[in-house]
Formats: sequence, C-alpha cells, structure tokens
Amino acid sequence: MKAFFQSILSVLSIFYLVGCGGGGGDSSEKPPVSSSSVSIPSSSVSSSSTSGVITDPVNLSGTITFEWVPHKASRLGLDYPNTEVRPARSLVVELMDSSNNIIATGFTNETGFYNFIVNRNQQVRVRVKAQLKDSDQNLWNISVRDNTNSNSLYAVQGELAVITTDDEVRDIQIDSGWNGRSYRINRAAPPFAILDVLYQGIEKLKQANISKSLPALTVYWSEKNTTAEGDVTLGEIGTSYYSNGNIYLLGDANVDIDEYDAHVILHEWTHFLESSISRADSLGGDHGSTDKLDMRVAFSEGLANAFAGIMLDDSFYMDAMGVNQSTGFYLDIAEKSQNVQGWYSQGSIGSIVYNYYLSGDNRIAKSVVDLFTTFTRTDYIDYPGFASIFLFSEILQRESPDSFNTWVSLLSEQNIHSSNGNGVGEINTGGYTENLPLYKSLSLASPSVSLCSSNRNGSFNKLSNYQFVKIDITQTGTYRLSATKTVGTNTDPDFYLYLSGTQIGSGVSFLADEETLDVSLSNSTYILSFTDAKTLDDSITTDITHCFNLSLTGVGG
Amino acid sequence: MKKLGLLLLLITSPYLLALDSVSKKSKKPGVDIFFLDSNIIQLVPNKTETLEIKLQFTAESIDYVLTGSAGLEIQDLKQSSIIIDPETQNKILSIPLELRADAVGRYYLHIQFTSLNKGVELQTVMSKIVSTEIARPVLLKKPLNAVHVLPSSETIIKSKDKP
Repeated sequence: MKAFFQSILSVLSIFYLVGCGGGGGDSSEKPPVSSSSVSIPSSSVSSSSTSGVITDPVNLSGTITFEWVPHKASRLGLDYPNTEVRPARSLVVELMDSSNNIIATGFTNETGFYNFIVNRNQQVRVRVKAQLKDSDQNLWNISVRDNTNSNSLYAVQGELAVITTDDEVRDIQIDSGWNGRSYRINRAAPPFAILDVLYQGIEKLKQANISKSLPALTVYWSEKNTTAEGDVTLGEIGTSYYSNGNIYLLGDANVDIDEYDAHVILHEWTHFLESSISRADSLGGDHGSTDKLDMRVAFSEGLANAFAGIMLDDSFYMDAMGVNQSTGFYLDIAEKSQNVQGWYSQGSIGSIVYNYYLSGDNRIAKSVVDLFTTFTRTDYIDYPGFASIFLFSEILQRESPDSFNTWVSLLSEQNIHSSNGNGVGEINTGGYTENLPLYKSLSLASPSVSLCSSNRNGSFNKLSNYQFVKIDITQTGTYRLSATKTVGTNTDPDFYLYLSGTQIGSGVSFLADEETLDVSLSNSTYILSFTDAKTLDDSITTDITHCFNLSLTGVGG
Repeated sequence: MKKLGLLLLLITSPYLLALDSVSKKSKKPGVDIFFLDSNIIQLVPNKTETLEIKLQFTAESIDYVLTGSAGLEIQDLKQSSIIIDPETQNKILSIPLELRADAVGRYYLHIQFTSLNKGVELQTVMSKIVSTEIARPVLLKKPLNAVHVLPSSETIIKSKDKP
C-alpha cells in the first residue's frame, strides 16, 4: 500500500510541476481502481494543503448511488415498491475544503466508485455534481440544471469532516424522496436518474465507435416544471422538449414527471444528437403516431423513438403521469401494424428502424454500428435533400449493402417504395396526389412548377403543409424566385431556400398571394420548402388547399 | 422596404411568420390536441368564475380529468361537449367549469387527456395558467454557476489508524 501511495505522490508532483489546471487528468496517470484523479488547480489550492503536495497520504473513497423508480410491469405508471438502487456513473466528484475551495476533482466509475488521495487530517467534503463528463477524451459534458433557480447546477454533498485514518469510505445515497404516499419537497434523485439514462445512450454511441465530440448539453429539470406554457423560470415549460441545444424535462409530481421515463429522455437526446453530430431538418411541434406528418418531422420523431428504444434495448416507449404517477401510456415502437403507414408516419419510421436493429439477416442482430454510422456520415449530413426516411435509406445502402434487402422489406411493409434519397419512384401519395413527386424540379431549362399547400392533414407540421422543390443551378448568378397564386383566396405564400440542409434565404413577406426572392446562387443543387403560411396556423379550422406557380429566372451575373 | 415589411409582419401577424424561421421545439409524443383560447385565465380573488375551455383534437375519442394546483378550486360542470365541423371534420372539445382562488397568486389548471385513435391510446397533460395576480413579483437573480444542493445521506466508515 505504501508503494502505491509513493507512486501516486510522484505522479501528483509531476502534475503540479507542469501546472495542470482544474478538472481531471490524463487517464494513464489515474489510480488503478477508480476513474478519479487528483489535480490541484492553482486558483483553488486549499489553505490546509502544502502547495498541493501530498505529504501524508491517505485514501478517501466511496460509492455514489441513487434511487431509480421503474415502470410497472403493466407499463402504465411508476412502480415505487420496486424502487432500485443504482450506481451513479461517470459523474463529476469534487473534494472541497472548509472554505468551499475545490481541492480535487474526479469521476465515479461504472459502479459509482470514486477514489482520492488526500492529506491526513485535512477537512474535506465530498460533492457530487449532476454532471456527466467524459473523463478521458472530453467527448461529452452533460449537466442538469434548475431552470427555476437561476439555472443552478444540481449537486449533493456530504459532511465537512477531518480525515484521520488510512482509508476512509464516504458513500453517498441519493433517494427518490418518495415516502410511500407522496414526494417530499426538494427530491434529489431525478437529476442523477436523468444523467444515468443519458449514460446508457452514450454507451450505445461508444459501441458504434462514434467518436465525435458532443457539444456541452444542459438538461433543465425542476420539480416545478409543469405542463403550462409560459415563464420557463417559473417552470412553465409546457412539455418535455429539445430546443436550441437544451433539453427541458417535466418534473411536476401528480401532473407529469419525466425523470424516470427513459424513452422520453432519450427521445429528446436523439434530437440533440441530430443537431450536434448529424443533421436536424425537423420543424418540431406536436406529433403523434396516427398523424400524417411533414416528412422531416415524421422521420425525426420516428427516428427519435427508435433510437430511444435501441439505446435501452426496449421497444416499449413508456410515459408515466397523473396522480402519484400511477397512469400513463405506452407504445410498441417495433409494432408493424401501424394505423398510418408511409414516409409521413413516425410510427412507420420507428418500426422500420427498430426492426432493422433487431434483424440478424446479414448483420449482427442488435448491432447499432450501421444505424449510428449512417446517422453521422458526411454524405448523409451534406446531402442536398432534407433528412427523411428516403435519405436515410440511400445512405444506409452505402453503409451496409449486404443487409439492405432487410431494410427494403421493412420499407415495403410500411408502404414505402423508394430508397432513393429524394424519394424518386415513391408511389404512396398519402392520399393527396400533389404530395408526389416528393421534390418537384426547377431550373432555367424548366423554369416554373405548380405547388399546392394544404392543411387537409392538420396544420403547422403536417403532411401537405409544405411542398419541396429541387433547384439545379449550373451557372453562378443572381436569380429571382417568384410565387404567384393560382388557386385560393387570401393566400400567403412563403418559401425557404436551403443548401445541404442549411437555410440560406427565405421569402416571407406580408404580401398577399405572391412572394419574391432575389438571391445569388452558385453552381449547385438547392432545396426549397414552400408553404402557404395559412396552412400552418392552428387557429384556422377551415379546409385550405391553395396552389401557386413558382418560377425561376436569371436576373444578372 | 422589404425589411420594413418584414418588421411589420413580425409585429402584426402571428401566422405570417412561417415555421422555418421560428424557434423549433421537438416535443415528446402525446395526444394531438391544443387549446383554442388563451393560455392564461385571469381570475378575481374570492370570486367564482364560470368559463368554457375549448380545444381542437383529432382522435376518435377523448377523455379528460381536471385537477388543479393547491389553492385552486375547480368545479367540473360535467357538461362537456364535442362539436364536429361538418366541413373540415375538426373536432372541438368544450369543457365548461367553475374556478375560484381565494388568495392572490399563480395557479395551474391541469387537464389530463386520454385519446383513443385507431386502437392507439395516448395520454397528455396540458395546463392553463390561472392568475389572480395584478403584477408578477420580480425574481431575485442568483449568481451564475450557483449550485442547487439536494438532500442526500452520507455514510462514513473510518479504518483503523496507522500503527
């Protein structure tokens, strides 16, 4: 043991001499048992330590655990009597001195274990942050913060106490706060439960050898986060959602809490992954498995359901809510008998992706490699057309040609008949012939196209609200895109122009029945999404189908 | 001129600002239903108000349960109705109820919906803010990077001292 301490001492001395900053250290220099390491940040050197040198080393270790509340066997609501104690994995652990200076930082390992070497007779407190961080390569960094309390970071901490013995163990237990009938105020386990669900997602990414660095993610959770939409600082978040790099999760007990709804958490995390290491073309908004959705929304939501199921290896999406969290609903993502089938159905897309994951036909059953690799390939991200089941199919075929027949069969079962990235050859119209072809063509050689926008399947993000146009430009210059009404009254045509998924221009003026955009374009393929903004408005309950002529003209070099 | 037009558009017309340009929220799955009226109900303290909440939904059938946050009295008048627009087939759910709050404050009316559509059952809770406040109190700002310490229990086991 003494030799072990001496070797650690020499490592610490090297750390200090090279001026290592705060946070973790090189993984090769960690103690062998846990993933924690000790470094002495120059800005927060404890007054009780001797310039960061450990002169009388003792071992401080412990295990961090939290309570996890599973769903009932019926999948309807939470099962408090079967609450489990789980290790709090890969979390940031800090040692603090009596002045609340951070004197060492480490991480829990897969069993929730942490380990520090500190000076004997030092007064220290163990603090565990609700922060999941990659201790090796800094590939991920996820924090859970309280949006109702100045976005403060959640943490738990132990007592400030003097270490007097060779080996001291300080275990911290984080309970759910459930007393058998209700929750106490300030329940502690949720931030750690959320992070542990995300840890499972990260483990799946690692299985696929996805080594892209994820941007820092903040998950905002509060026991005040409720289902009213209003002031987020009061917890009025409306529902759990992903937006602009952040995830918001419900926590209002007896109304709707999502901290133990692992599929909900990973569904939203998939949206984060789309934005950070893949592409995110979805419009967002409300969506259900019986809706006919805009193809971008259908794909994003179906993929998010499937990836959540895959990360948990559980096809049953469960969401608990209500009084005592005793009710809820569940969906079988793998269900093939979807009520709405097609490229506009999130249920179809979830079923295709999940059943492909299960398939062992010319691939390893339950492998995530081809699916996650397709999701992050450069040719998927940079493809001119929008993210859709069609685009995913085309790139998956390149990634995994041997098992592509399985994928095509799954597509066919869901009434999807094209695996071309632009949906060329698709015959399922979704009940409205104007939905096909998926991308109408526009070029100087073919300078006008007819487009119709309709709310026949609902508004905001539903099938037929938007139509898509592929614009091939062969000569750099300034071009005019003009839309004029041909069918309908009091219309408001709008359009958005994209290059490889990035919006580069838009025509969203207030003019009735027409829209114009002059834009410089180079030799490339552009994609335009076109809508009558009236079809996006929830408050319009009358049936709208408005048609337009869209033209392309050159207006100068 | 175009920019001026766009500015006017942003100020005056909620639906002319199309979806691609606004903040996107990717929400969790649930019932396809939305309020047709304001998200906030203003009440006078100590006075019972009778009102009607209207929502549009798409499911074949829908059921709901009303609950409120502490201090909000809710009387479900049990006279809810569903109107189907013969032209659009849109379904409008109307829920008449009485609300009362005695103290000045901010409350929530929660409605838990269960929908059934083609054999698929979904649930969603939606809420209205019920306010008896005239003006909201100003929140005190804490410094950034503050820590919200949660309760936990610690077990400390000390080994024998060195000989």
